[in-house]
Amino acid sequence: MQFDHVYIGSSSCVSVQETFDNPNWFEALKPLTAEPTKALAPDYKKYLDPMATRRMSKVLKNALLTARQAMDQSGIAELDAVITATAWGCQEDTTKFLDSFESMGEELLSPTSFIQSTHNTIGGLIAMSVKCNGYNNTISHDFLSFETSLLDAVLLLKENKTAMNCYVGGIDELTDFSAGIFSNARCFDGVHTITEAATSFIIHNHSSARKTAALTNISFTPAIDQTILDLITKNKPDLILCSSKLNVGVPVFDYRSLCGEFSTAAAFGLFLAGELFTKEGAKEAIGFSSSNTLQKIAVINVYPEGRCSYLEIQKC
Amino acid sequence: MTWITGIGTVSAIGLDVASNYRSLLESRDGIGYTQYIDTYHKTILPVGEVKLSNEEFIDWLALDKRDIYSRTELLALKAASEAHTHAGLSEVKDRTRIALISGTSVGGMDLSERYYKGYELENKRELVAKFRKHGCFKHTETVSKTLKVLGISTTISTACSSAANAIIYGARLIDAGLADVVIAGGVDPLSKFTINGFNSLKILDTQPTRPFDDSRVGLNLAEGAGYVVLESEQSFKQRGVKPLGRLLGYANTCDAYHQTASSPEGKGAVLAMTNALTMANLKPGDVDYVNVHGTGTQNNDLSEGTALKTVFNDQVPAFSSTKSYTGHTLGASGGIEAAYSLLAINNGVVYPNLRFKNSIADLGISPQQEIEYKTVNIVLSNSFGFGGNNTSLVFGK
Repeated sequence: MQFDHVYIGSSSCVSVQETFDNPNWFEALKPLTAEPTKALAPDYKKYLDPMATRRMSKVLKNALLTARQAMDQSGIAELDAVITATAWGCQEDTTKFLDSFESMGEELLSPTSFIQSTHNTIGGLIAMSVKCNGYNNTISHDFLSFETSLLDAVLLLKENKTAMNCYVGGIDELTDFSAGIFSNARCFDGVHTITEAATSFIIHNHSSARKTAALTNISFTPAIDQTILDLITKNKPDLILCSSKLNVGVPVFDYRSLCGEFSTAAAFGLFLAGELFTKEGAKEAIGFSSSNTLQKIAVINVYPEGRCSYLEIQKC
Repeated sequence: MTWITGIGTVSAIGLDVASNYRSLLESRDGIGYTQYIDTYHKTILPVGEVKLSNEEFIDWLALDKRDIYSRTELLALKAASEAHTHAGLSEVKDRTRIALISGTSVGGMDLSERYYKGYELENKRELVAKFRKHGCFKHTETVSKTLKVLGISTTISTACSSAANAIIYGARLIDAGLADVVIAGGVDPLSKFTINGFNSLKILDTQPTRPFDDSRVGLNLAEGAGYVVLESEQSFKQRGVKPLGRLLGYANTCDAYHQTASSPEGKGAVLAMTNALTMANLKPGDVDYVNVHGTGTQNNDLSEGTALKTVFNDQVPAFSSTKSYTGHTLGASGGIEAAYSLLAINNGVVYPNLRFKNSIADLGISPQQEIEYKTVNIVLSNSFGFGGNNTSLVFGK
């Protein structure tokens, strides 16, 4: 679907790179090892009230932290909608609660980890922290969680004629337990390092507000087929961020070589695209020639069983 | 404008729409002790269990017995297939114009809780099969493959409002022209995980639940699946099928008050109902029946009742909680109750709220107590969940 007047206002990311609260993170890129790798934990005390967040798992803290930072960067104190993409939800609390009744029996259990185990805990917390009574949705659909969340936000902005600030986050957690399973179960492509990230965006529809890029297309196809090739030919992106082999006459950068592989990695792709537009030295850091202009970037993902998603953003 | 051209349900009160409807008319609940879950609480906490084992489902659905299925997949396949058949979707040639949006809270938790301890011992093939079934998306993928859905397919997980939010997402896909037909609804299985989770919150009743009664103490956890087929006007007219009703309005709001509890004044609930009615271009007085969320917990019913009084300015229309029949099916409830709402409209009937005796002292409102046959043009259906997720749907003739 092609559309206009949808903008990425700001973004914030906790990942295996030093992306959080560090505008020039790409100047010191960390090489990834083959082992499953957790995100670099920010100094939580510096940003979050330790008392209020003492029972929160890492995934909840990362979501809250990046959501707030994205809001700060956009200079907004309120949200009109909260849309969260998480493929595997709050794993730490889920296994904690499973373990609690496995080890202590089924009586006198503490509800904390159960409460924090549901996928929508993340979006609920973000809404509570900023008192957002508006639209609140959580999408958990494997590799397409983020893209179908982004579509949710775009539809919302198009349905509402008034100016709106929409939170969209791609939030996934790697625990010791899931790291073991993910590597054994080959849930992922087997090429990239298994990692995690929390990437938060403010998506809006008011042209006068701060914007890092315009989001112009979200498309889904059952496979990397003619529809996608036609989109590339017609829209002519200057760069494609994609981790699969594409022979389309456009430079392709494998962004998972930076962020690793996790189900909502497309969120990192979108984050990186915004950085490439706005940060000096970013495109050179990923080996894209500084003499080439960068006006339009496509983030293409080809997932197991062939499903394919196409996101396109343009420089504002 | 979105129309509904098919429904499918499986719950503790029936394996298909017809048997669910019969139970509703005969005031027959499906609450009892679990036959299939090995839990400490199996003779203490009654549940709304679907009366068919996984093996029987596999036989009935003619599935490959060598594969592993989560109960979530089986329930979803059964109900979504019924809705698909009901709407006559086999005849739709361009399958890329059919979307599937499903909601669930815990996905394949019924399998995870049984097997996760032994994962490190499994050979890789079995591990992949079992672990991927844990994901919320897996049942959606299974249903879309089985029913040959090639349009957008995704999974919503907003706890107890999951199915209702899936219906909203589906309707918006149609309005945006991204699909002609959407199978939308939700599913959740009973599991040791949720039984213990809700028990740790101390909101489960050891007796069949009494929604909106002053003496209510909690809910009965349950399982099931419910799907509706949403369709654009152009599509159903072209196919020449008779619609069951329309989705006139909807709203998804957030209470933003507490992770599990509703605000005393039901802020999110008031917003959801009001916004859904506004979207439908209706006045509160136009509503003939409210299928309430009505879990039977102290907190929900007081908060939802307060919200009802606010929205309807103390003139609360006929309302009942069909969770007094099915128990609380979590992420499936919005789908099952959407089907019940459409049955109410098509048959002109308001279902009684079982086991109600006395109004909640602070509220003074009473749900429907006897079955009543009358014209039902407009039904408001509420689904509220953990995380403050409040959703209301408005169905009309």
